[in-house]
Amino acid sequence: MSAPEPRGLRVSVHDDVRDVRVDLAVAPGRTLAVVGPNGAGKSTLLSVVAGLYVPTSGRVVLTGATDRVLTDTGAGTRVPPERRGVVLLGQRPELFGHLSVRANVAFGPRSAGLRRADARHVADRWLDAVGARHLARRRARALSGGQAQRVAIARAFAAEPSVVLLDEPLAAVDAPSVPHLRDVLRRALADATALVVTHDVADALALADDVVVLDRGRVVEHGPAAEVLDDPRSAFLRQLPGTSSAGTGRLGPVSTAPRAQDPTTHAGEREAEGAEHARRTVEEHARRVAAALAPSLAALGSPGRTSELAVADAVADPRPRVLAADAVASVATPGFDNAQMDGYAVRSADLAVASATSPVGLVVADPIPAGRVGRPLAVGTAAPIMTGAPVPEGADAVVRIEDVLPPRFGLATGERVSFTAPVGPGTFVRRAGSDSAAGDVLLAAGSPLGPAQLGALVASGVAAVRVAAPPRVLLVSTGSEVVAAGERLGPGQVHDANGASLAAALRAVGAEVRVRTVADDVDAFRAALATVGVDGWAPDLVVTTGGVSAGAYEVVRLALGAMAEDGLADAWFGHVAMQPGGPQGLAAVAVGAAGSGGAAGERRVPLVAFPGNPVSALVSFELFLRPVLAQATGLRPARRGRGRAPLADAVDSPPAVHQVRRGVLDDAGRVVLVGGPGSHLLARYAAATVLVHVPLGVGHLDAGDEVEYEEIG
Amino acid sequence: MAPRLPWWLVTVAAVGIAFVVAPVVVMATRGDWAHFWSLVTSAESLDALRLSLVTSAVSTAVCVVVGVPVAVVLARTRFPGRSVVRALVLLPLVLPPVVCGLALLYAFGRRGPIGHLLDDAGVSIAFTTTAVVISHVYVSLPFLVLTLEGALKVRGTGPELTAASLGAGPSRTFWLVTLPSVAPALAGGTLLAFARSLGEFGATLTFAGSLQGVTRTLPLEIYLQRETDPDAAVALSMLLVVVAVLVVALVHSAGGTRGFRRGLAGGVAA
Repeated sequence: MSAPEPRGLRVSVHDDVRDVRVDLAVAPGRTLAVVGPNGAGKSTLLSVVAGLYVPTSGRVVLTGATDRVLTDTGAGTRVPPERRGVVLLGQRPELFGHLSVRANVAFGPRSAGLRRADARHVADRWLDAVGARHLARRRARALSGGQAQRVAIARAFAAEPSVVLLDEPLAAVDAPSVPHLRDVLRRALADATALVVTHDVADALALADDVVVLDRGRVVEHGPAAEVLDDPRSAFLRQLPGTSSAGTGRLGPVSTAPRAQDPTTHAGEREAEGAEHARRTVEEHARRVAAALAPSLAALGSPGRTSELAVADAVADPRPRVLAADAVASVATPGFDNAQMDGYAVRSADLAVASATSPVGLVVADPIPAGRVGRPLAVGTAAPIMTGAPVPEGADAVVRIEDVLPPRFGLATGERVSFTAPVGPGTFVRRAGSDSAAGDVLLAAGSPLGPAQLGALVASGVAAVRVAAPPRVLLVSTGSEVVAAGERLGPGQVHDANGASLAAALRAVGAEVRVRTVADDVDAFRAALATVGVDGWAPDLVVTTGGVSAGAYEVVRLALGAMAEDGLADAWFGHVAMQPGGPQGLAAVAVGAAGSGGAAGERRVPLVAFPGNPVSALVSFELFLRPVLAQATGLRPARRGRGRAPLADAVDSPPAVHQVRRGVLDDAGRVVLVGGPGSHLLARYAAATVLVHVPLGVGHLDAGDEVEYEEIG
Repeated sequence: MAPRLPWWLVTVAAVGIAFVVAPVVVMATRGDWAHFWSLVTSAESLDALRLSLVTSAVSTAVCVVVGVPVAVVLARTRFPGRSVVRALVLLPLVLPPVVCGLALLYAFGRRGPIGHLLDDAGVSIAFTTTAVVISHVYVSLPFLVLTLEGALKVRGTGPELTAASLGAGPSRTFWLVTLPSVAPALAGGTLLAFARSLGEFGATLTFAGSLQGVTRTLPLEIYLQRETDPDAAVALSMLLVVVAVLVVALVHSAGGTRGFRRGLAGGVAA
């Protein structure tokens, strides 16, 4: 039998007793997560939909080809719970302990009037779906907590409800069972219309398409799950308004977009909030960042920015560098003809008639070791010669030791050695200048200056080269709670982990970095940009962390908004379909004296804004900045080593985002994830050696499925 | 390891237990065991035993049929004066049985309002076996109600809400979920009611009288024999002791009195 076409849900609750005013709609087949603090009205909402509580004013309608009104206080309609087609799954399984597992699951179908055999069939199908078929004959009260909740899930869905209500469905389950049950639920919810109340961001991300945040009986935030929950520090927790801002940020009716529509249509919803949200893919944002940085990075090799660097200094202090001008060989390499093989230096003319049947014998001359110039070679003689040793005057070829008789060194000078074949002139002789002649371009401008290049420069007698300047990066960590590394912490303050990890990452790719820690204050932020050039150190790039989300007070957004009004910046802020690190910004901004209205000409530099969470910031750096900067500074390879490996464990990812997980490779070559998707602990990141990419559109990978990884340490 | 108890508490407890057990044990030692069988199989004894078993069984059945709905209504509904109703329903539990019998006599007796109506219809209840059953039901019903109500309250309404959520109507929910899920409490309550019926004396004597083979149940027979044949009284008493021990054991093994005990505590608190 087939499930009925899912219906949508429209709920309007205006309850004076519990002070709840919520209007929301769920499109058919979509799942809406309801999050918020205790007393936010989540339970009231579920009770109203389930028909267990009648608000002072409200309507609950199942939408579809024909609407079905379940509750309408105006018309006095209240369909009793058992006839609503709404199943409630709570945090505890509430199995009927006196019944078998199968009878529990068959309870809904039997109540709907199915014959015993048919109901049993439905029950077994759902028990299969949740992986609990083997428990079918067990008494329900004999199950473990995880098993029981699995059966409860099967029982809820076996009733084929129009709408499923889930109230903290995984809250009471043992931690080890949670990932599996979440996956079971996720699959079951795929085509169901559902409301899920949860306090767990991971649940909301895994189960829901959309999220509403309730607080004190009002909707304070809504949108696609990945966007709203991406950065809990700002978009979720900060969005829950405190007493002072309880009157702000309230929204009108909430709807979920129909399933068929493109996720980008959420942009329209966001615009209703007055925010210029748009959603970009990781690739598109990376392309835009690269394009924005290109002029600045190209200017690093311009005449004003380059400098003369002694090759010896470069060898003593190797770091990523690129040549700003061609390096020209001052001597030929090799500087003299030398032997390419161990053997005998000969005059090729002497061996013209040699053959296997009539070998030619030559008199052994003094041997020539490497580093010594031998005497000119007389006609009719052959000089033993070592690889790299200069070929003596008169000789024009080297015959390998294994091609002569006897095929070994050790004959005394004056003894005879036999050759069984003629040899062409130049054979096994490296001619002087055959690597590079004096005056040749040894390394072109733009070449990186790595170990091989430095070796070539030294070999060719190049003493100094002209190198491009390293990019100067102004790193601005925002947050009133942030204190520079090493300083004393006041109450509620944290050290600037972002400044530390990003500064190190930037320096490792060869950038020159200055770190500024700025409070959440627009003027302070603008001042940091305005004063940066006073000592002549003008940044080529500004990187900021924090203050980019959709929260009420996001300093980077506000400051750049204000600067844009003053004609000092062009800025884009929005969401990139990635996790972690969804909120991103990209701008061109005036820095230095121009920012304070001075007479100096306006100089705009690219500004890349990362989220404030340390893990998000570092992942953003890896995805958007590192490849571009490494290319410009001469760090090679510019891209991290990549590979594919099977997963050690199954992984879930919201299909709407490109998830970047952290992991390590185990001894079996499998990827073991470190920390959860929403792990904001930098310490977990620090334990990782690979970034694991779960691309857009992938919601679940099983253990053993291959994933792409990137080596980070 | 259990925490240590003060010595005086243990001492008093030992005295208390001995106080309960000793009389029965002493009575057992005074029994005329050589003639036990003939004593309990005399015509009077057999009449009394048969009557007691029949009336107790019937009254227990009536208790279940009437008591379950009473317990569910008390546990699951809210109406004004519910706690008063509950206290009144449980009244026979604390009233002296003789008072219960008197009350029944005034209600169902020939001159009582209900008895009068029944008498007009040609039915006379007082001093019949029916009167025995009525008095048994009257004093036993609270035991079943209390046990079941306690169990229902302890268990909460979760299973019923779940059943409704899954599409089951009220009747289906009652039969498939509510009743089976409190089956142990129901069994316990039923056994308690049966035991109470079997031992009922005062209400029966007052309302039904003491007519051999009609209203003279085992306790009444024992009381009567005590005057004339103490050995027979002791023998019959031992019979009741054995039945009582069996009932207590059964009820405890089923764990069914948990609801009763909790209900009793609730009743005291209320």
